[in-house]
Amino acid sequence: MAGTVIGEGLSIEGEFTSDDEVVVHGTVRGTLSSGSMVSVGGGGTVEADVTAQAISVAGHLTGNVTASDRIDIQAGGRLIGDVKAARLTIADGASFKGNVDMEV
Amino acid sequence: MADSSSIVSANTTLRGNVTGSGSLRVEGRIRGDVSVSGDVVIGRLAQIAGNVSGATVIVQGSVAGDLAASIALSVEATARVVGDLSAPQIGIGDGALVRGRIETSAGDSAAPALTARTARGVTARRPAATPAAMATNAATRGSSTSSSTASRGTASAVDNPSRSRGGAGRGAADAATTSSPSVRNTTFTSRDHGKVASGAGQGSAAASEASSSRSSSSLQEDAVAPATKTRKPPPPPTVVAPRKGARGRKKIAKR
Repeated sequence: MAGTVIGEGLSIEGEFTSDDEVVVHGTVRGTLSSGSMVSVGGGGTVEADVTAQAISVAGHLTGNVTASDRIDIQAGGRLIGDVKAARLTIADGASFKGNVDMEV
Repeated sequence: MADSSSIVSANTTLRGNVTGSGSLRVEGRIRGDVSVSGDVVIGRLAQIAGNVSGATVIVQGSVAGDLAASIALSVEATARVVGDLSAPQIGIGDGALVRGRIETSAGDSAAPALTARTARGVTARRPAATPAAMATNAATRGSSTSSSTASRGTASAVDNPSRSRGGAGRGAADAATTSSPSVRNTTFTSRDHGKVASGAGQGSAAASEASSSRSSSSLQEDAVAPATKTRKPPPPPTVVAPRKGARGRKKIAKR
């Protein structure tokens, strides 16, 4: 099962909950939570608070982000918001603005 | 890879609206409106509470809300729909549950308005017993493919080898005439009425009641291959070509 894919050109507004992986190439506004992984693709835009096991940002994400495992901001990705996760990577070329809480 | 097709998977719940371009497949739950310019497939286990619109809409799951398609709407056997249906072409499979108003209109020249169609059917249906005419009552996706409508035509022709055409045609025409005015605000369960593959739901629903009460013939029930235009999954709509009139009756009695 491929999980949920929000394709390019599709826009979702509201409360989004999934147990599967969520891949966003389109736009999501509201809240987004997944029991698995959330990936924001290169062209994807998320303006939402995101909760997931792991979060990968290659597109634009604005909102507070909480991951039980890890958060990766890829090169070219942009994250604006507070981050809470045990592990965080920020690739060279990524942008990030916000506070980090690694639950030390 | 960014593409324009989207999937809302089985374990996903969305409260809110979905809009945009591209195609969408829903296997999970959506509470809110779905409006996309591409095709929409509502899978077997999907549950949607809200209105759905798209180019081609295929329903296999549950929808509480109105369905609108700019090209075709297919309500397949496993579907449960409570809401109004509107599209140039509408197909309802055997076993589907539909409650609501059904309207096949919305300006596609291939499928003229309901009234025009039934009116024409009364006169034009008989002579050729053309597939198109047979299918008018059922503005299923069938009409998107001449092949499937053709098979309807042949189904009835085979059934009543020599004289059926007039009889069948007239029967259908009669049924259409008598029942078409009540097409609006209709409620029916196609399961109850046997085979309904009709945009003009009430027309053929009533007709199929009529015909089934005198044991509708077997060949009429032949499943018609679904339209090939869009890749539509299997459960084909079935067809009603109800027959009234002495000939049909005699024919059946003879068996």
